[in-house]
Amino acid sequence: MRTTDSAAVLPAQRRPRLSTGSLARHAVLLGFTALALFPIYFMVVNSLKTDDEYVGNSIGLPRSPVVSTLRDALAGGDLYRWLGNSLLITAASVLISTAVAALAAFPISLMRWRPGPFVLSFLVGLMVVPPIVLIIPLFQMVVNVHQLSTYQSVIVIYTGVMLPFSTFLLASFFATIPRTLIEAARIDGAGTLRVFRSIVLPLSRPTLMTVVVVQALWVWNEVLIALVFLQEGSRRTLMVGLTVFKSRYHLDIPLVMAGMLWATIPMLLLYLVGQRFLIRGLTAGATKG
Amino acid sequence: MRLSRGAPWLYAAPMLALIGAVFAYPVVTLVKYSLENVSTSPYVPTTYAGLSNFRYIFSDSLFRTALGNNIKLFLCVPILAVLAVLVSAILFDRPRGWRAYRTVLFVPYILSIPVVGVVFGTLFQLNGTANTILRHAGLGALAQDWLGSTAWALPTIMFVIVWKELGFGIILCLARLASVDEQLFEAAKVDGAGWWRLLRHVTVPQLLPALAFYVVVELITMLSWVFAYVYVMTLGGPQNSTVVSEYYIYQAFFQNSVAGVGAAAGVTLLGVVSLFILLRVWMGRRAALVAYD
Amino acid sequence: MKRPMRTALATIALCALAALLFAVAATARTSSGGLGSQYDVSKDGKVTLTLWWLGDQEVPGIEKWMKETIAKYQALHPNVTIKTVIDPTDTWTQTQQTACKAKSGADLWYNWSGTWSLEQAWSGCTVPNEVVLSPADISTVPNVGETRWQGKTWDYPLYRFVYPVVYNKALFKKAGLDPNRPPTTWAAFLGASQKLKASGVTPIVVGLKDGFGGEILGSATFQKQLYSSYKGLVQMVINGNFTSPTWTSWITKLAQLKPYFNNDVNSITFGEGLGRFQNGTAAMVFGTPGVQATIADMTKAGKQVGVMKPPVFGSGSYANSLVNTGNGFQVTSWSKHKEVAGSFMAFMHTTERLNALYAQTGNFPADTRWNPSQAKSATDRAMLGWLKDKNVNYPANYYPTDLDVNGNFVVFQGILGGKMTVAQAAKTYQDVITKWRKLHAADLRNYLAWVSSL
Repeated sequence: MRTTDSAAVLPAQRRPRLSTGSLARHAVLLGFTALALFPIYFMVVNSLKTDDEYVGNSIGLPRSPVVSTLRDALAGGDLYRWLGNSLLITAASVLISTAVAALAAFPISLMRWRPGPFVLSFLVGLMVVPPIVLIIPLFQMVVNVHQLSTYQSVIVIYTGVMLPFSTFLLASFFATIPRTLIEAARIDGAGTLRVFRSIVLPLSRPTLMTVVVVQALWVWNEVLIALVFLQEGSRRTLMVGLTVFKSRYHLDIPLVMAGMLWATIPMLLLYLVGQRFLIRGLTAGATKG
Repeated sequence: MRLSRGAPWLYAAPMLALIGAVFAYPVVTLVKYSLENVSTSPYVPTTYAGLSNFRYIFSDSLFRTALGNNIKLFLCVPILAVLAVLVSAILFDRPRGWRAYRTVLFVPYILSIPVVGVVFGTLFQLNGTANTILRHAGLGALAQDWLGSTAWALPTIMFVIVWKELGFGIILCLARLASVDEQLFEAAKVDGAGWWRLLRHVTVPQLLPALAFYVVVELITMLSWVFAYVYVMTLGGPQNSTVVSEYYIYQAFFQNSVAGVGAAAGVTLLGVVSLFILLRVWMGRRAALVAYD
Repeated sequence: MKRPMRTALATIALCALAALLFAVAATARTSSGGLGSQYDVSKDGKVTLTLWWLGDQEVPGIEKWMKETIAKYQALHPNVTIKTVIDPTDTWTQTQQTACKAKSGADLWYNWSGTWSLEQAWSGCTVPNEVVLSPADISTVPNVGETRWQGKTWDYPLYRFVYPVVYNKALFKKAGLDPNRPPTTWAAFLGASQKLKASGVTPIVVGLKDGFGGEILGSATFQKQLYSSYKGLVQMVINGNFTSPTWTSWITKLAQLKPYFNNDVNSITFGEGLGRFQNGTAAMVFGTPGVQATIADMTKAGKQVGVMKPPVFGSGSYANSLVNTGNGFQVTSWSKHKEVAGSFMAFMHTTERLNALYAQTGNFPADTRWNPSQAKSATDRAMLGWLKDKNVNYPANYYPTDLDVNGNFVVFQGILGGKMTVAQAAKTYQDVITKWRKLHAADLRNYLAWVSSL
């Protein structure tokens, strides 16, 4: 697949000239940058303040920075518990979804499977089904099997909801694997499972990474399903917990901001590390003429 | 590859089973519920309701408001498209530090909606930071009750959606531009085309496929992925002025215990979305076919 | 003759006494040692009870009290373990319904009175107090009446929320008002608000962003004034007209107060509004559950605070009163240890626990076995006095949630924070109830049955 990572494809950098045009460009870009970063700035500066300082100074840098607010936000251990829940659920559902998707993408792209293209179109269609319409029946279903407020129920739902995307992306990539490689292995007597394990998977490592990063971001930030299916206090994910956190400390904005900051840091780290994979995944399929 | 006829099915089975459980079964059940008076307890029977749930939602002014709000959110899409083209065109000129800009401008897209909603909710209070800034800048007349008035609450939510979704558009456009033949731009420049002409006659036409994809994805977002914004920022208020279809369905089922009504609204929403699904499938297939080469 | 006669009589008397003793013992045994406080938990073997509630979200400080209560109960009954789960308030009703449909989860759960509890009862999700508590346990709780239906009571209140108007004495003084004689009539109240405004403070503060401020104000300050019994209100739900002059009359009064509220009611939450009263930027705040904690905090910070009954405008006998509602626990119908749950509910009502509850949270225990003379503060004494005069409950507990969420929430945001007129407000209620009646035929039948038990 010729999905583009723009950084890799762009030609060598041209020397920018310092002109009014380039100044205007920087002005526009700096404006957008400021806007994009303002909420993070707001979270950071205020989580370094006490509530008393915030009342008189809500936008400026803290005059006497404190770490106590950041520490207080973690007190009681709720944030840790929610963080743990989010990590567990994200890791499990992303791994399962990626594995199941890889298995399914294999016949779709690399075997002569007649329903393959149809299945693929169908999956693309499912990618846009609003999750809210699935919630009511899923809710009843989960209730009927007595699985409400369990990790496994949410993991299964997340896995299912992500499968159209992950299968589609992997199928598109698998289709670019040279058939000759596979034929050669077959001639050597390799079974389908061997081909899958020792040729397809190793070749797809970057794409698998992409699938993992995009899905992790989505699960981590998901609200509706977590809100409905993980109601029990100790099972809440970070995103649902944050809404509780906010209503608990609504009077102390710095404390709320500190909680928000703690919740944001893991995703920012993942983004900075996995940016390449993330962008590749999100732009896949959109850049073709 | 030659193999037994059952093998492909075997590989695809886990995926098909999960899709069946998470998509197929719920959609079928939803349609069934939309035709029933679904009971709220194990001790009360569910009865067949015909089309009465649908008649009910279409006579319900709240549902009409909700759908109307989704349509109003569509206004975000052209704004997003224009801004994405502008910013990506500027970035494509590769000013100093463009990679850093790109990294930063994408940050809003990866932040979670609860975090974004809480922060903007604080900023946009009547006596909040946004109005304080306006007042200090001598623009006190522009200060509004951003999330607390029926006139401004939805536009404010739209601002936050645009703020968050723009990064995605920029990345898409940049990726597309990077795959365009550089000579196209050079030729236009040799012909003496200025920045705007270049944008209009070369960049935008080249961006069209990416933009079309972006527009479809964002239209779908405005219909079916805005629940969290509303839940976190306004809870549908003030005076139910920011209720969207998703929120209506959520309320019908979880607060008012009328699953049938929620299901009817869900089926209606699904009907509207399926128009876009067809578009998306068509685009997805084209992309997939290209990918097969 | 005399002696044998006496002996015989004595013998008969003894026999009778013995028989009586046997009979008492026997009855006691057949009713398995009694229920609630009299229930013998030890014979149930190892039991784990799960309790669902809202914890400090409802009453700050109560989680600590509950922890102690559980520890003491478990020490007394080593075979019982009690697990608590704190749920979010937003999705509370849905959580209960879910559990009910699945018939799993809590053995007992927290609930508000009135329809909140009764809807669970009507759906068969909970059992009445009479099945798990002794008559003595029930008779000392004044608020069980809020859930009377079919001759039984369906929620066992632990504490009473009260809804006074709280005011800042210093700000009253500054505005030239007598801080010890707050207004009692509507006209006097408007006059006082005017003076407060002229003195440069916000007369009344409220946050309506999260909606329920509309329920609290509408219910505890305004709607109750129309009634002398809530039979009329439930009848209203069944077939009343919400655009009638009676119902509209209170909305008119609300509209008169609009100039005296803070100008950003829709952009702050209820808690944030309370915070502004607490920090002294607003002079009055209407009916806030858990108000005693606010008063205590302010007193500690050197701010003098007074309470008043909502100013009277209505002609119902409830008009001049302090509204209160009892919140407590229900035992679920699928619990395998209903009697143990009842025993724990009764334990929460032992005098020592009730005293601790008042000491730790400031809320009034909902039990006449709690001695009100423990109240030391003037505000608590005043409120307890008003409660003794009249037990007037919370009107929003007598109509469906829909009328609350799409009625009260919307109307208050509209009147105080928007441009809604009184007529539009009345029509909003009427539209909501019309929709509700259309959709809830079964609930309507329950309301009919309810109205006859009121």
